Amino acid sequence: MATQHRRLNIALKLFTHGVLIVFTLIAVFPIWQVVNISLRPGNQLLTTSLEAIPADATTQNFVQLFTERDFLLWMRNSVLVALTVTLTGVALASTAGYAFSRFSFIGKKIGLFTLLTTQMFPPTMLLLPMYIMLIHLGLINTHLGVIIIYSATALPFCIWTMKGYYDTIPTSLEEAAMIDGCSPFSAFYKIVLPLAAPALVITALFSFMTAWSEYVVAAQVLQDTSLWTLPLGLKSFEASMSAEWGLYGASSIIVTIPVVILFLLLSRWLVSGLTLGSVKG
Amino acid sequence: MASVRLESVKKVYDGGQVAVHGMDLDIHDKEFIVLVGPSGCGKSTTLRMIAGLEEVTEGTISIDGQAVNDAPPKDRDIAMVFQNYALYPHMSVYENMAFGLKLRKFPAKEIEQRVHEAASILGIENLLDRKPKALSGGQRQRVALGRAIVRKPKVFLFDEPLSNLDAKLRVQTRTEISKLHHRLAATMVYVTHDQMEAMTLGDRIVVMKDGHVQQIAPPLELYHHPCNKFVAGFIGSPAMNFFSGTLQRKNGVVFHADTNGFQLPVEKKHHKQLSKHIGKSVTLGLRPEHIAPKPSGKAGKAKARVHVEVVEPMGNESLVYFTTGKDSIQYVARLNGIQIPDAGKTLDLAFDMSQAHFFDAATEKVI
Ligand SMILES: Nc1ncnc2c1ncn2[C@@H]1O[C@H](COP(=O)(O)OP(=O)(O)O)[C@@H](O)[C@H]1O
Ligand SMILES: [Mg+2]
Repeated sequence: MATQHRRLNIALKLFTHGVLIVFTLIAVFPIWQVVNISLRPGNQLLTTSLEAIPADATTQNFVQLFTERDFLLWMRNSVLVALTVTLTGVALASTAGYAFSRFSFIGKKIGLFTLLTTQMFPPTMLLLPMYIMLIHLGLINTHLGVIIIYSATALPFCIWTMKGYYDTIPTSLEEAAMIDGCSPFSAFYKIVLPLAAPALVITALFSFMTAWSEYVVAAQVLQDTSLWTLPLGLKSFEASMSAEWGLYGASSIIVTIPVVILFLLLSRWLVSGLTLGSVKG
Repeated sequence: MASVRLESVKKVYDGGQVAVHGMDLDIHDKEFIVLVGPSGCGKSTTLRMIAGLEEVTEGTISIDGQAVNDAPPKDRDIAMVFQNYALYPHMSVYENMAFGLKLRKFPAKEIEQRVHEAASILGIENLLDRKPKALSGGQRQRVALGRAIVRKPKVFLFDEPLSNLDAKLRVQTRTEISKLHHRLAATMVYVTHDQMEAMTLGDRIVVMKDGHVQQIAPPLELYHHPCNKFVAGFIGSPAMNFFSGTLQRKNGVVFHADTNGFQLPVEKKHHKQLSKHIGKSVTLGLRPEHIAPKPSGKAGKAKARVHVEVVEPMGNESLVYFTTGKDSIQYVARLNGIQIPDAGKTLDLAFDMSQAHFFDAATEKVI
């Protein structure tokens, strides 16, 4: 009886691990592919070799990227745009979410609902109206144009995230702080904001990613190559005539590095349960 | 040094809900005032208006003669202890207690001295480096108290501070709060739904119901001279028994119970005050300790034969739940611990009518 049970257990474990391994391979394969391509000399997309690292591996693609192309410029543009969007997103979502969570005002329900509704439209549907708006604002072919659009796209989700998190923080904390000597605003930034760190991190990451990896809007708005962001630059390597797969692979890898760093830096704040112990268990 | 005065204070919430109807209350310097009443009667609302956490819809609240209606909480020089403690989770116990002093720009030396002094009063010196999540409920409550006392505020406000503690800790902390009050000689306003806490802590008690003040009096006065049926029933445990009936003139005055026709002669001392109610419906109130088994042989006049339903022997006393006849209204008598009548049997009880309270059946006011 007992051994049968144990055997069943082992079989189950083997099966689970098997499934997990398969999926891990599926997830890792494209990354390995890109690494592989970036290291190949010349411009080979397809190869029959199954080597983890090509025998004739070279860093020439990386070197070329930084020396012969505008890659650094695009990187600078992307960082500028993404950081601005992140700061805007965090600043606006943290305050707007607070208002939605704590205060009662006319239009609160409708406001929240409207924010949610905006998430139901596919971005491509909004492309044309946004483009027209930017023309009227004279923001075509400017970074400010994409920054506004990215911020507007990311904000609804961020506001909802922040609001939802604030809702879990007891109001008596701010009340205690106000009695202790805080103004309503200092109670917010001294007590509530530090406690909302996990939600702030999610908001920041989400805003950053929205701006960092966006292509469609950027392709419409940014026309000068000197204004391009990384996704536009990347796309230019696979232009229809002569796709430069090596450069494409190399830049893909470099593009992901800041994101990985950001995740690693911020992940320690992602722990939940910061409010534990403030109020009765 | 600090008195608090409420003049016709009214609170209407956004939804139109009237939580407090025109409340008048004079809290003296160094007084311990308890607001007590069933859940939803407006106690917290009143306290939060004093704190400045809720706006006053109408009327005036003043602290030390200064109207504070428009003053933000931080300018009222008050401290509040919340039911859920409301400790700042990202700060250590020390930082929690020092927070208010830092905001008020106290010199670092004095902050340290005050925090340590408060911590030693409360016996939490060994916890100063911990975060709130590493504390037990009782310890958190102490820290919350500590955070209040370091500030040496004019007025302390407590909103059901003990209701999250277990029974034993509750009694212990209750006596400590009482000691703190004597030690600090400060004005305190304390909200609770527990009449026992109110009785043991308060210099005066404010009994509230549905946003109306019922009575403001010292504990024993409330107990012995409740102004209406609600207060009489709310203060004291087990609650006062209420018998409905009519007053009739028959060898003096008798109370004729509605339900089963037993008659209780009314003591002479009550005749005068009851004279206008002869022939009318009244409610007789009698506390459980004023009902006892009739001594055998002796022919007491105020007696009734009752049916014993349940007996709860507790050693020092026995609670006897009984019905009087036709209806199923249950009454209770508090007997000494040696007397343990049999459940299910009948029993002759003597009513100490010298301790009787009479209430107008319609207005429920004391007669
Ligand atoms: N923020 C609020 N908005 C609307 N009604 C409220 C609010 N807070 C309390 N009330 C209502 O006011 C009444 C008094 O509440 P409260 O003062 O909290 O009672 P207590 O503390 O005596 O239990 C209750 O009926 C409650 O539902
Ligand atoms: Mg309450």
